[in-house]
Amino acid sequence: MARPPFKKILIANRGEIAMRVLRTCREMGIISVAVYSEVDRPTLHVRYADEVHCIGPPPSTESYLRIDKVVEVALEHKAEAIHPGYGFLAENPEFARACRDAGIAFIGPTPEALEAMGDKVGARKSMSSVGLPIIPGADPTLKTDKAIISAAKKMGFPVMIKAAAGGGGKGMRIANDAEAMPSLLKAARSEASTAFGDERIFVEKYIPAPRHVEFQILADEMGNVIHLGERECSIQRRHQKLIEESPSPALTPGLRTQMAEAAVLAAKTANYTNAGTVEFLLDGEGSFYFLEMNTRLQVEHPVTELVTGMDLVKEQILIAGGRKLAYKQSDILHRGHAIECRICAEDPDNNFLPSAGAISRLRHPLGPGVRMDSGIYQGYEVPLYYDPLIAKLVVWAEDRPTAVLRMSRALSEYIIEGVATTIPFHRWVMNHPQFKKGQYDTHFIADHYKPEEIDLTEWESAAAVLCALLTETDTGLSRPTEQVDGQKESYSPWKFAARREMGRRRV
Amino acid sequence: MKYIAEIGEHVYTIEVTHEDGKPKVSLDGKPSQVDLCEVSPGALYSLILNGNSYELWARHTDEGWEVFGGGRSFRLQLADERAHSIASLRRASQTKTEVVAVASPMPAQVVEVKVSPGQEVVKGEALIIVEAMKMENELTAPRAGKVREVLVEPEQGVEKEQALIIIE
Repeated sequence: MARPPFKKILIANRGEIAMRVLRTCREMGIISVAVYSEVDRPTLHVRYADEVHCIGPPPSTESYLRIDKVVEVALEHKAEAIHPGYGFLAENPEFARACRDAGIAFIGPTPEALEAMGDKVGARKSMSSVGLPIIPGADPTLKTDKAIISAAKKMGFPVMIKAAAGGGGKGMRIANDAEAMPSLLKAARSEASTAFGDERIFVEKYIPAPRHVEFQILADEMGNVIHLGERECSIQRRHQKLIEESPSPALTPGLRTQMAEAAVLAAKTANYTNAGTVEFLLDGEGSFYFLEMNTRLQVEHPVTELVTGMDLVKEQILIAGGRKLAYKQSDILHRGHAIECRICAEDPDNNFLPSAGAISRLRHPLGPGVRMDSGIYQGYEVPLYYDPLIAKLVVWAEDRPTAVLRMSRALSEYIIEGVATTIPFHRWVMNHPQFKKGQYDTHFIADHYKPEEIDLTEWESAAAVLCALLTETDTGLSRPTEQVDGQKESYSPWKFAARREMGRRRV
Repeated sequence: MKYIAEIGEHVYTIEVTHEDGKPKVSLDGKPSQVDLCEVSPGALYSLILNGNSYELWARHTDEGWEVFGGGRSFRLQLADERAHSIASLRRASQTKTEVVAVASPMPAQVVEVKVSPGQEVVKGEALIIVEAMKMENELTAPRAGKVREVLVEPEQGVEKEQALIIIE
């Protein structure tokens, strides 16, 4: 194990990703500093870290997004580096710059790379200039509705309207004809403006039934760039990823090589350092298009870790410490198949509405090939202030069919009571014949998921029988039953032993 | 005793009888093999129903039973036959004039109101979009009816359980 480049690292995040980074810090012998908002005082990352500091009230704008406070804590407590996790400040160039100005290493790319890749319009332009395939689109500098609509007509409908500063599906609209454009443009601008403070939008050709395939990149400060293979992320709902797997069932070896080379070229073009992800859209004919580059550790990074056997957080820390990559491309080997299910506090029977509340019962799945990344515990209050992602269930197996069965098995063991979760949804996906065959695209959920059609008769019957039995014998509330499980007395070895003991005494 | 269990719109009939001190169950008229083991009192039960194993947690509250099993929570109303028929008669006489309020399931901000007063809606139709946890959420009509009142407007902040739209 390489000597760690830092003695102390601050983790500017919460929940499962804070736990993920903390674990690697502990393995590397690095002292960890956690920050937390007032509502997170009892949570796992606060209890796990070596040093902890409160940085403000629950709303993230007053705590986890406060660049000044995070940097101040790092300076005061002599953290030499900051890991931003994902979300919050992870892709904020101002934050990376503030770290640099304070003499603290930002565990991620440079502020310049964050800026360049954060501007989706600019990123497309620079990638296109080095020959990366880009989805046919209108000149992104077009401003008036008239000019945009006439460009869309030339391109041919349907077209996709996207936010220039976008991400996470915000501001995206699909227009099927010119008549629908004016109102969609207006809606997209207003959503982009509220979400990113930047109302610029652009249009591009809409690819029906695409797959979302992304490549993991590692790049050191000496200009060495390698890729760790792809992740298939086409199981999405409203552009939010729900299930990811690696390798992608859609890639042939030839296509994989082509896309990987494109991803490495993209990273080099961006002068990229640290861990990053190059996202592509893949159409039904095997043509792929550069979508964007994600300049952070991704939520779905564990699937790559399981098939490569690498620790991406460790690599990030080593790169940020100025180390040369310890691997050449030929050292990276892929083995088996990994799948991740994002477990969210959302109700899959009810339009995926967020579900806040306390987790009254929790049993994580265990057994062969199962990995749990989570920040929850029995008694955890799911707060409304943050992302609804509460846990990531990841499995590895020797091949895809086995991995799907394993995920199904792990999901059946998973017990989270007190809030609605997406566990039943994931169970449905794992049982779907098309998912099992690996034949799906980004419209899979919208086209196929109909919660009202899921047959619950079996578990409902069992629940009904249980309640009837408990009511009949007036139990289940406080006192144990004699009638329902009449065997109970004779089956209890403790009572049996005690009675024998008493009998002896009597004799 | 004969019980009627209601889970959402599904109804199950369970008859419990006793033979040699052991319970016997018929589920929707079908005699069923049953064995119940209380693993932890008042909470965790292992039920073997017709040879199939079910691990269930059950809790009785003022609003009825809450059962967790198979990765899901079930809210269950259980009544004996007589109580059930009285309750359903009462409900039937109420439904004609009943109004329902569509409430926000969490503190949120209204993004878009998709209906206006007087509009006819079908069950499941999108009524309003609210944003919370950085996500936009569509609230739908719990049943078919007519929009009587829209109580909120876009960009307004709303509390948990606050009524947003009234349907009659």
